[in-house]
Amino acid sequence: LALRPGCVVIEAGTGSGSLSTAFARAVAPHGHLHTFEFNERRYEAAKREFKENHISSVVTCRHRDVVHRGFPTIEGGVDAVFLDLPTPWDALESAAKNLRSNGNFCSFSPCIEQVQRTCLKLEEMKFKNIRTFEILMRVYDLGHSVFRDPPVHSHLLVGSYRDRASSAQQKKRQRKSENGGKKKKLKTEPDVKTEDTLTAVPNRNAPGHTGFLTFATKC
Amino acid sequence: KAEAEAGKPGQGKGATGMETEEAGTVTVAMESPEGGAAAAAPTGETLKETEDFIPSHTRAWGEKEKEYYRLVMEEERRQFAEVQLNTRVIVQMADGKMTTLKIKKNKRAKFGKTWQNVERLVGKPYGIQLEIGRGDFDVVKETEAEGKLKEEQHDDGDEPQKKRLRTNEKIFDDTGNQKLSHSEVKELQNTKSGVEIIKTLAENSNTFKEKTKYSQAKWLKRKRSKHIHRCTLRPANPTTVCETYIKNGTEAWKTMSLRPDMLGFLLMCSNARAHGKTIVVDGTCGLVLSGLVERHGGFGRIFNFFTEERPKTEIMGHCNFPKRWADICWSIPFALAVEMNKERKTAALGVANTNPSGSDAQTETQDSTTTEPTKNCENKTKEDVKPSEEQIKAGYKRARIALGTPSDTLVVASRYSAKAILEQLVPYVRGGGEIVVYAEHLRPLKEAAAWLKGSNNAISANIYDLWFREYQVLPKRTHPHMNMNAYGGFLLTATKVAHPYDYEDYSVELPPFSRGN
Repeated sequence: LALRPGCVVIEAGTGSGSLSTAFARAVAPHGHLHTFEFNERRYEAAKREFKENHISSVVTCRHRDVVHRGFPTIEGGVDAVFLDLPTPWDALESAAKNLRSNGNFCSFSPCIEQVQRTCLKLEEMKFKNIRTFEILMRVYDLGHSVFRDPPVHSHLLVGSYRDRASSAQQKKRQRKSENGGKKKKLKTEPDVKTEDTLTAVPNRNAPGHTGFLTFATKC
Repeated sequence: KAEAEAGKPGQGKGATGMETEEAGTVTVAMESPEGGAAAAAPTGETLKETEDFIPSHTRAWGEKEKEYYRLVMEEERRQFAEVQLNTRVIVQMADGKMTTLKIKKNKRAKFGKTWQNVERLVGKPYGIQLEIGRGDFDVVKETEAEGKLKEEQHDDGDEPQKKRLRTNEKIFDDTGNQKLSHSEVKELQNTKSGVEIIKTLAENSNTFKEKTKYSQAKWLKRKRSKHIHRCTLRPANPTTVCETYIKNGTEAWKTMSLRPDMLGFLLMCSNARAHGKTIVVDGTCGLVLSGLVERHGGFGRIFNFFTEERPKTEIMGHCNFPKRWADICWSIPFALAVEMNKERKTAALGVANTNPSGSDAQTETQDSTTTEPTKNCENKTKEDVKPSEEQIKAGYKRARIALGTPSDTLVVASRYSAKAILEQLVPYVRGGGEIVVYAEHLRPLKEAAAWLKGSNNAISANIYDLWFREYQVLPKRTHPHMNMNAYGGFLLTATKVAHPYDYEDYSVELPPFSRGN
């Protein structure tokens, strides 16, 4: 959205206010964020949190259903619009009225059907550079691992190798009896953890989808 | 410029006036405009905020702040409206290739196949397709034929059940499908306009009418990008410049394959903001630095520790930053930080300090641009000139100011070992500050994360990478693009924890922000 200090942004669907805080950080100190929430409890909680976090001079939260009532007129126009609504195409016209020419627009929708309708509406309203992305984050877990050579089992060999290996196997049988007959597993943990044994592997549980981001620029 | 003249007197009072207020109130720095307004006389009338009208948030400001920021925002918004002289612009051709272009007087550049005078672009709008005519750029107005074609593409109305859907069952790929020969097409290119050429080609094709709507659209798109010479202009900000570099296969290495979404993620995790203090080690030719400058917006400080002989920040010049924004960047050789750390260690051990040896040749050169400030750049020379004694001493003075007070953020994006860089600079980050390291490979980040955790310098050290896929959204034809950029580098983020080895020398005072310092 090319936000920089001084920009004025409107956001619909404050929700938890996490994105509002990030916007506030980007447009402070002389910019502003107008954010709208239609659920009364969430609106009050968000308003309280902005005050507690000392960003209420940069963020104003308002209780308004922007889908049915539209966005209010904001004096001076707006540099960017962010919509996180179930029906962003309905709020699009009133948002675009406030958006200054060459301002940026972004809509976040979980379903592709919503994205399709939003893109159709954006084209109707002559927005340019309409692009849709999905972005997912993947965390890497740090661990230690060694990669050993595979073992040589002498009872599978024939010939001269067998003798060499069988003596080793006798020793192994001795050690096994000492252990109490436990089955030895493949050892992946290194005896000494150094920088060489560090591994970074993505976590198996990763978010598969959060939503599609649709960006556009006003004519 | 009017802005510069009018801005200076107001700026002189406004800037220092606001700075002294903010120096006292660090934690509530966000509320400074209203704090300043409370000190200044309140404005006479205040428009009431009704449900349908929200007055501008600047209404509560004092006159000085209003005037200053009005001029500042006007100037900054003007550059997004249309192309101006002496700015950088990004040209996107019909096939998607992007290049940066500097709009200068009497300059010619190659657009596709033709050379054009770049001055003709001044005053053209961004984002709209421009047709490259003979020596001039015209804003494309959709002609009737084009409009019709577009309509047919989007017509996804219910097809009557009786009408049999077209398929590619009977379409065979033959070069003989097009009746016009190659030389005939070339002749057409000289005489007719692009749209007419495509019309002729469609008429003379055996298979065009039998193709499905969608494959017709695909065919048209291919022909358009070949025969119609069009380009789109985009404003040059860090995001678009980042995209330009990675799209161009030969230049991606310059920015360490940093993708725009990864850049945004990096800036978000770094918590770089106005009135913050950021230390950065930038090996991406200035791209990360440009992103940080955009976030700071002229407030706060950025200290760039460059690892080469000169700071390589060519992308800073690409992004059209006004002078006061780029002024907050100070470039300091990384060698000085290493030197200072050694000094402090020996001082801590009680050994007498040895005289600091001369640093490497460090003339700061940046791409010659008019918006690029060279406040701390001594001489813009392109030859290898050893800096004078004064320059080296000035460098040391800057380093002492930079590393004297703890900083809010450390951002590292370098091909050198992350762990080695962190070992030198992490003690200068305040507890609770962010440490962000970008690398092209996992190994340096693994080592750095292990070191951060093991030395108790940071908590929640996590390594991330981003999946980034673009979608084509068209009625009945929505699917992801056939090619995606699957590699955007890796990011390590951590939160610094106060450590007994941190260097906190509060006796060094940061001088008030003023030019020529």
